[in-house]
Amino acid sequence: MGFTHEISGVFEAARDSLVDHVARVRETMARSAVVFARGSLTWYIESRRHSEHNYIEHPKSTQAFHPPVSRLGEQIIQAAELGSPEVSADSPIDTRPAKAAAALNLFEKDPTIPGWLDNDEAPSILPDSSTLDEQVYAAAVPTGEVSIDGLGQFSTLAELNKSGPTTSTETPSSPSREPFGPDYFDDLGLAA
Amino acid sequence: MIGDIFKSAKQRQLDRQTDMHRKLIRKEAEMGGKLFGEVKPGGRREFFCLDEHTWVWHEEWIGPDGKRQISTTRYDIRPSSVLKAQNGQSYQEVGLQEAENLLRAINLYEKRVVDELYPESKPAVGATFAA
Repeated sequence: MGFTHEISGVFEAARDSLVDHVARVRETMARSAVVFARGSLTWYIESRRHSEHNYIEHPKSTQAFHPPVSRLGEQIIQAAELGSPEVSADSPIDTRPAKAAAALNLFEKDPTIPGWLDNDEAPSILPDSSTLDEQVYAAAVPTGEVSIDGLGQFSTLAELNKSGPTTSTETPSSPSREPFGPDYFDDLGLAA
Repeated sequence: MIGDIFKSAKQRQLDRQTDMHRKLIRKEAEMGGKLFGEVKPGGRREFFCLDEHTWVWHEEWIGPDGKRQISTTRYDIRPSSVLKAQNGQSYQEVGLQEAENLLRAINLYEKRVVDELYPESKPAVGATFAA
């Protein structure tokens, strides 16, 4: 009986350890998803507020949501002050680097977003000054269409829709019911 | 022969891990659905994080004609864009108001689902999902 009990204990411990491992993996993923979503959505919302349909693309970088924004902002402003033949006084305002800098700096005001606080010790997303212009214009020049960063294989929303996930290429019909509408938030008075 | 036994044991372990992972997502979905208040009788609502870039809203309700309606919305969050695909349709950009509400929902999800389901003390999680 003692032996059986011991063996049973070993299996139970192994099971608990496995469950704990799976839970930790899931927790890590969920927390990471929350942080990523918060950063990305905050960026998206601020961009949309500035320009409803012509929002600024974020610099293309996998580190996009963890740069020391103050330094990046400063570098972008410096680049704007130095001037560039590609940006003239006649350029539309949205193509000017200063606009991108202003949008990026919005993140400094949100202390709830990890990685966005002033931190001069953190590595810059800009590898060296020679790539600064490229980064600046990637941030500043709107394409007019949605760029699918990260996937690599799609460059526009149209291309993405052509490829999936649906087999239908028809114009999407109006959703019958929008999630996150006032039904769920305003009426319930949920805290922001 | 012994190799087969180990392979089979490893497969069983993988199956169990998959099963547990699925149970955790199901639990998160159930808790996530409750963030938005009571669901009307005959309805069902789920909201959950599928992976690092994907959030899913699923809702079932009885329409005015008495027929069951189902809507599944998948939000793909990218570094520089937020897209959604509803009921298997093409991707669309998420509007400003919807993006703001999605952000609020995700903040609530962290507080009331992730923090509660995976508390700092940790051991309770195993007990809940071992079955």
